[in-house]
Amino acid sequence: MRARHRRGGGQRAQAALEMALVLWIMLLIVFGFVGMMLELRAVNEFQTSVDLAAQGALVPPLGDPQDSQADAAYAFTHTLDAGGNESAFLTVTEPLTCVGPYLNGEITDNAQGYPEPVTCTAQAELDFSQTAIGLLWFWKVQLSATAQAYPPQYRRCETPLPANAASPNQC
Amino acid sequence: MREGVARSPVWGRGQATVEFSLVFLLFLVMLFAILDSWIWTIETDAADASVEQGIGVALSALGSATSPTPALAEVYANVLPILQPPMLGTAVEDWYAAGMAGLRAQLGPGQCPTADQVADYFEGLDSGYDGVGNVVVCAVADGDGHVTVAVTGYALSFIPPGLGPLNWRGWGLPVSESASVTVGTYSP
Repeated sequence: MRARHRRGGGQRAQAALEMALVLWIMLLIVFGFVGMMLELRAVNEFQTSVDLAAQGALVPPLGDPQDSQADAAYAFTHTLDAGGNESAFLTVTEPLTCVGPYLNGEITDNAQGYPEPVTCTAQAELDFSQTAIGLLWFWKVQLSATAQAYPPQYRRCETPLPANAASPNQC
Repeated sequence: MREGVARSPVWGRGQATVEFSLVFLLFLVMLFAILDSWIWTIETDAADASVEQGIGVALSALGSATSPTPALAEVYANVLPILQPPMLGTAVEDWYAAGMAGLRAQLGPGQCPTADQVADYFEGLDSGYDGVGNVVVCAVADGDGHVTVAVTGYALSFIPPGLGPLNWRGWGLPVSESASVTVGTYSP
């Protein structure tokens, strides 16, 4: 009888231990997967923001670098996390930077005869520590995005030149 | 003693059944949480791509390449092929459809709705559970030289996982993707 009691207690302990192990593994799988999905979402949204920033830089005519930079910055800030979903864990660590001859009022063709692109880059950090996902994803993930946009033909504005043109390409 | 010995196998089977039910229920919840987060990722990625595509369409200018008027009403038809297939039963609505007139009038011409505003609106129309199952493709100009394209609403899901910072509404997956750029033309 005492042996049966001991066996019963041992089985309960074993069941509790099994449950604890299984539960922990299940939680690891769920949090790992959800964290991975959130990371994919953040990467995609971050890249879209930089893509639109590069395209935004080409909205003003050639020779208007201030507006180009301003439009790129506007597109980036109003696209990244506009819905607010990622605000709890996504932080921009390196602000948007756009470079290229177009932003200096110039069109320079490369060796293949295509105009040099506007290149925008930015970096961000994913930190899940303030969320339940942070139980598994306790490390920070660095994101880096680069996008290029090529000045289209109608932005080159080579002809006709106005009489007071300061640059051969100025509209 | 005899009674206890006789009942023991039955009791053991009952205990095993209860334990299995609990663990299986837990397993199902976790499985559906994984499926939901996967579906949510696919749907919001499609929304993201639609928004990027929609910005390009809105910038194409209405009528001619030199027109400064954004082609807002053209956005829906252009992004629908990208957005509808991955939405898995969720209705994709046009912001400029007649059925959305009430919400448009409520928000004004320069503003896109939030996911909750979309769900509240459809809940008022008795469409879907708690307004879930509808997303709206919205394209507006703010009158200050900017155009905004947004895909917002709540998509259908298996269960409400309730994990993380997301604003889960009942049985829906929140979709809220938006982009805004300066209005331009496809001409010098």
